[in-house]
Amino acid sequence: MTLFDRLKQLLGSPKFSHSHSEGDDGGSGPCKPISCMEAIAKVHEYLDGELDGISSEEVAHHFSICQKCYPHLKLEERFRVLLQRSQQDEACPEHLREQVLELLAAEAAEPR
Amino acid sequence: MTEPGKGKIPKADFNEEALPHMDAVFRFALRLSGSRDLAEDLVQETFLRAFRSWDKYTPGTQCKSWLFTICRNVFLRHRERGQRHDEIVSENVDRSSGPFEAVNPVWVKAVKADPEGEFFDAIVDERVLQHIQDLPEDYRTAVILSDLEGLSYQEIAEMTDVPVGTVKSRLFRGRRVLQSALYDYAVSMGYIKDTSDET
Repeated sequence: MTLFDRLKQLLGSPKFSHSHSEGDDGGSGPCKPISCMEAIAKVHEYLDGELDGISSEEVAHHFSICQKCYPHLKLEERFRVLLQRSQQDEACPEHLREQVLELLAAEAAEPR
Repeated sequence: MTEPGKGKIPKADFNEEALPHMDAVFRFALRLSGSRDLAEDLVQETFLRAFRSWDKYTPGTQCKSWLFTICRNVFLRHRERGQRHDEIVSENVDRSSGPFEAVNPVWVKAVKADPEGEFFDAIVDERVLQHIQDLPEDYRTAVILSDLEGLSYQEIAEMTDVPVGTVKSRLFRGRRVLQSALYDYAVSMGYIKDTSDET
């Protein structure tokens, strides 16, 4: 699952809107509200799937309702997609693979 | 097959356990060194050392991480013998920038001109890789292992022999430096409008 797919899944709630204003913690909802500062501070751990002490739903909920923070999540996500794209189809060259296998065969044949 | 009482696996299993990771080790070596020639040397040396010390590998653990660790150690030793001038310059520049702000100042600028981040699509892969290469080694290693290879914070911490908190810090700073460089490049190429002077 790509980061984008994960984001779409997390933000798939019908409650998604851009009505949140600066300083608002998200109002009532199924998740404990968190502040903009907390959401921004956790954005890396959220996208890395490494949150500690806070649930991904709580962070996702904030981004889904906060029009100030959401673009930061979006940009962070696009940045990661760019990094992933940059190394697509980068395989070990065939000649190197053969060299490694020859090296290992020679090493294995060495008398101990 | 495991040797009785040893908990180790014989070299015959090296082919099954280690060799499938050759593509990943090559990519890692390439990103780490920035040179195809050096990356090829690193891959050869990594697999030779891994083969020779295969009895030290613990079955059931992450073989890819183990190979990455060897590869990075080989790279660091190589670098110690002749540290590149541009890397010394880069590390001095990047580490003198002091504490980072909680809100990414690059995103603050980018949001005004391109909130969807479409400018990223215009940046060619070679430029991305060049800027990854320009990162200080410890930031670069963290970014490569997390963002390109998908390793967890814990795996990276074990690989690089630092606490998880240090991994997080390196990732945070490495990404910030990289984002800033890519944004500046996008502005210079006209992919995104510079909003620095706008209030």
